[in-house]
Amino acid sequence: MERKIQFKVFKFNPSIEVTPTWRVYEVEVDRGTTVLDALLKIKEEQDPSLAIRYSCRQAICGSCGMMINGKQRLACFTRVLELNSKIIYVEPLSNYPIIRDLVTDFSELFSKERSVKPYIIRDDVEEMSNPTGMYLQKPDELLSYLQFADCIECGLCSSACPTVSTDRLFLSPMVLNKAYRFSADSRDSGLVHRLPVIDSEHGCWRCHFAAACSSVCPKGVDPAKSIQLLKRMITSTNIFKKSRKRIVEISSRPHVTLSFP
Amino acid sequence: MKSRENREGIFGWLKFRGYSIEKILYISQRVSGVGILVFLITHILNVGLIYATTGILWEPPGLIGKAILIILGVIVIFHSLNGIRLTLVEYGFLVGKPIRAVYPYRMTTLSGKQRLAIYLVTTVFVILMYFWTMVAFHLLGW
Repeated sequence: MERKIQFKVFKFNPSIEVTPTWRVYEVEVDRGTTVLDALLKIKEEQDPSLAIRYSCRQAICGSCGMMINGKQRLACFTRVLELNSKIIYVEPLSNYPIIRDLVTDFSELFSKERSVKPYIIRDDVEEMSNPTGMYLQKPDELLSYLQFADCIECGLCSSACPTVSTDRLFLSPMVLNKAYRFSADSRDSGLVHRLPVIDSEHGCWRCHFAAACSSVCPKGVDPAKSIQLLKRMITSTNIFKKSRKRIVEISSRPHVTLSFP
Repeated sequence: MKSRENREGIFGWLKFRGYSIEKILYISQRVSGVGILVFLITHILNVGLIYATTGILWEPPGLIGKAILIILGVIVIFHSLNGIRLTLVEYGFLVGKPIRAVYPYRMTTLSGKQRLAIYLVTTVFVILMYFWTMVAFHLLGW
């Protein structure tokens, strides 16, 4: 059964406008209509100037994060009728600069992400450059970071974080989660290279566990957990001088080499 | 009014609708911490000024002084109990082990031992409030 729902959508083009406005649209929705579907319907039928960022429509790409009724959600993962509201307020994600309407600028977040070296770092440089085999992991070693590797970088956690709202330089939950994901990997020995950034004034110690990041995460990544585990890892490394068990041996199994005609 | 920068500022600390109980406790911890700090500063200045002008270091508090002391007690008890929980959480003790993220997702930081610690803190707070109420009645002479 279709129902008419009112959408109040944030409209703002900072390059030509001084103040933002709210536009009201009415859209017919059924029980399967997502907020993204409704916004695309508005764009097609009522206001072609509405700017939205989206791609996969199935909560995998993490492009359509926005504030829906005051909370950070993925527009493609939120059904309109589930919100149980006659008026739906749609705004751009808070704590990110607005490019236009519902589209926000993530470039600052991605530059912070690069600063924590989000890749496997090992001491055996020669093996990294010219691999002769592969590193095998036990199931429990895989489980120690797998949950955090599911991050789709939608940025909802960083938008919800109260520390990000006042400290622009704070690394943010997404980036700290990424730092822990690689530091907890048994193939990695790069924590010492990441420490100057994550163990700094604007690093993980700025997190005071409001857990807002975990309550908005659409993929079950639980960034609040990875940040606390990161603090524990840093404490045990710096104070108790504990070193983590790392994979040092390479499996004799050779790499699969692909040959193209 | 949103600007291009779109930063929430201090209002980002105070938003709690739609988030979990941990956000409310975060706000309470911050507000109670600021309250204790403000009391300490004003108390030191007040006592210092009275001592400098009259030479009196201590005299029994009046009704307002007693009311402030009672409220301060409530704030300090809450701040300390919640602070113990936060210290444990922030060193990764109550957040649980990493699990597979399988839909419907379960966040171990928002459930399990961490939530249990919140219930424990609340219970101890209520018990201590019972005793504190008796102290307050005694202070007020009722």
